[in-house]
Amino acid sequence: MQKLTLKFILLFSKLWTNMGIDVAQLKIIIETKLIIDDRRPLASFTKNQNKKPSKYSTWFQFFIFLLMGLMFLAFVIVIPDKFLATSLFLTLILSMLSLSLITDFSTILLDNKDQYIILPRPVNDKTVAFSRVLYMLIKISTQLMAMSLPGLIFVFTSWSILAAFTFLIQLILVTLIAVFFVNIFYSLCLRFLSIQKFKDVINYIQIFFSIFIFLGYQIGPRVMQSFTEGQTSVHHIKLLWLSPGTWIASFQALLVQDFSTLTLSFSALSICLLIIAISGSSQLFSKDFNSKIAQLAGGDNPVEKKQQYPEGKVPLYKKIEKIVTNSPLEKAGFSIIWLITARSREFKMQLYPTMAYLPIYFIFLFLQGKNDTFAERIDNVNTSGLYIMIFYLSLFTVLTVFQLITKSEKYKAAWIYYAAPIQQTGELMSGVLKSAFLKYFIPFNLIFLIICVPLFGAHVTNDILLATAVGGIESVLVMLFLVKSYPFSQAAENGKSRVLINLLVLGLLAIVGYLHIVIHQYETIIWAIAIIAWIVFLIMIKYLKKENWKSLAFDDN
Amino acid sequence: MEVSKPIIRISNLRKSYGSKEILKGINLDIYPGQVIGYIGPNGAGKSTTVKILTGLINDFEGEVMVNDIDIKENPLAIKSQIGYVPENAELYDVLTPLEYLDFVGQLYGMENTLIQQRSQQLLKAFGLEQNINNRMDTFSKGMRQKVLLISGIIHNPQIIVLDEPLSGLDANAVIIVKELISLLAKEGKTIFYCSHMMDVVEKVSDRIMLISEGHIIADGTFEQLKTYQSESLEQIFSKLTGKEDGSVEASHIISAIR
Repeated sequence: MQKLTLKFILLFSKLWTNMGIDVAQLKIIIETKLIIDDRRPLASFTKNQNKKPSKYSTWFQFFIFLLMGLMFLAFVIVIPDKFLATSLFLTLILSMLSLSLITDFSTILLDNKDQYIILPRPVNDKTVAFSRVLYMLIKISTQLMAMSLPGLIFVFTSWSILAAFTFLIQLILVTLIAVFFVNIFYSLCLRFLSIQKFKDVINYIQIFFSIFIFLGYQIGPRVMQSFTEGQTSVHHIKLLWLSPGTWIASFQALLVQDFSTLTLSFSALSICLLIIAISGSSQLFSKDFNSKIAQLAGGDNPVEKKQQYPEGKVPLYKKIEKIVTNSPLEKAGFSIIWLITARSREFKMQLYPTMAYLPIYFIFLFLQGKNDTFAERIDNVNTSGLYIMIFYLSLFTVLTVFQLITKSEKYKAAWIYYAAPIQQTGELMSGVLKSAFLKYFIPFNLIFLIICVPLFGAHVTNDILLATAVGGIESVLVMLFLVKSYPFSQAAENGKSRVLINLLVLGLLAIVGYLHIVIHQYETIIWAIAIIAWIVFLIMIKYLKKENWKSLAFDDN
Repeated sequence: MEVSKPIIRISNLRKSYGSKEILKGINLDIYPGQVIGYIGPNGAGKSTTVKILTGLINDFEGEVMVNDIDIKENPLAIKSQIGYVPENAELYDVLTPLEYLDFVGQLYGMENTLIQQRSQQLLKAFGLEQNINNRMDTFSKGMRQKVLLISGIIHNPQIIVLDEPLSGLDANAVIIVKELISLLAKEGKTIFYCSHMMDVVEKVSDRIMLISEGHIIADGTFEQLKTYQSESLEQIFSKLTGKEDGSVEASHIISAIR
């Protein structure tokens, strides 16, 4: 698939050469990058990963995106107006692609290995920039395929040939625009912002997108309803006018002889957009970009902060550590998690977006139902037990933390675990668990307690207690079965989608939360279950300590 | 110095990767307080020996005894007596040196107060007291190497295994480390020093071992090795590992790119 895309792109060699790109260099750069991606890093101090990059996970990913594509297809089938249908479809594809590009591809875009390998060679900036764009395009092609395949099949079987081909071309345009604009966005940011600021901006964008998607889940069905009920068109939905997907979709309107000012200006806009995208990215990308990335390589340069804590003063984590951990090994696990999670950019970049769901859900909780007074709404939420859901959503954060703590750019620093005399890996890992749990889960529940008790009454206490214990148990289970390596000892993989796994976990938590909601009126039962759950949780931690992870053993390769 | 019994005893050590035999029967007795210079060409089996000695590799043939403990039976007991600084080692550089040493010390089972006290003294001794609370991602390579060296000795090990410990250090730091090695040896520590820098090995080691193609082909003090009719360790090295005439090879290289 990826090779095919590359071949297709190279068909236009003449054009690329005219743009000042060295095609031979371009080809070898991209081919090499693809080869590197196929081979997972073999660190001499981490476990031998001679397993083939599992085909299943790729297929699984494909399958999920296919499902998503089927959902998008629904719009195309249900809405008779082709212009509107295409607008929605393309807008959805555009936002999914941008989301993937920004969240999963920032590592590729900001890859600083190029710095040492390509830049010292006589390769011009345009070629470097273009190779980066194409590489992203190739990596995302599988996802695009899966998402658009159902739509394409439907369109080709039931629309006229002309409309179908226009649809295909529109799809390609949308992809190009997504890739180019994400690139332009990155380079603009890098040009005008300091590195530190830029990292923050990326964080915010990711958070914004996550919220956007979450909003989509909340609003989507309602919007869908209003579409199918009435005869709406793009002309009426002003919000859609803002989406580049709509602009490109306007070609469909032209096909059915709709030459209104709106459609014509949309078409003009989309052509402008394309020109800006291509010329802009070759203009902008090259100049400061690489030197800025070189600075990124320096890692998180801390703002000149003298003396993080004055002499003799014990930092907070040390105090907590003293209370909750016993052996030095457990303390080691505790402190490494506490400290690195607070400082590593890559960790924060991946975690923070997942936290953004919480406040949004909280707000939506109260927007449910129409025309009620605030007091009525609170009452509603209270009796329906919907507030419980948020406790479980916060659990999602701690699960994400567990996914992330084994990964690090600095995975080679993990040699120390193998050189040190670690008797019980469980001791270390229980420190890890306690740290993650206390830092990323308990605070949420405390906040909920503070907010919910005055709002809903003291009876929520047992709900929070139960949810916390369930969270604890789930954490231990995740630790036992999913965390297969020492903290920060594995290389992160390029361009692997996190979004999907996250959505799945979210679904699972929703089920547990739902069960809780079902029984939430029986206060005594909740108390009983909460107490049992806490006992189970504490026993499990004890058990965890005695566990010796086989998968953590040193495997020489 | 060879009054006591050997602290490390390696007998008939063999190790293969697949069908390729890397170590073909190594026999060594190392005594407390010795500084062993372990040299050899690339791929000779140096780092394999080190990995076995530090308990990282467990499936080998032969016997490795450290302080009368069989490394196969109780690798953990041996790991806790060894301080190891790998070649080009990385560290978690978002931490401050103090935090990193705290982490490492705890992995070795040390108590908090002891770690605090020792790491502060050691950082001071290595001239890093200014940077004690700065993150290591601002550090130069030499500063990181110093932190790594400290992390190798903080638990007061009996045996210290150093793999190219001078890489990235400036001339002043090199002097400190060389001095440190001899002081540690005087304290009765055993030092296993792997390097390609012949001039340093020549100076710091009181026993030099040359490994080539899985065999120890020379073993003795620098003075003893001089019987191979060579002036410097570099010459001895190239004579024994069969690359006597480096100039011929270099001229081949030149003619290839001409």
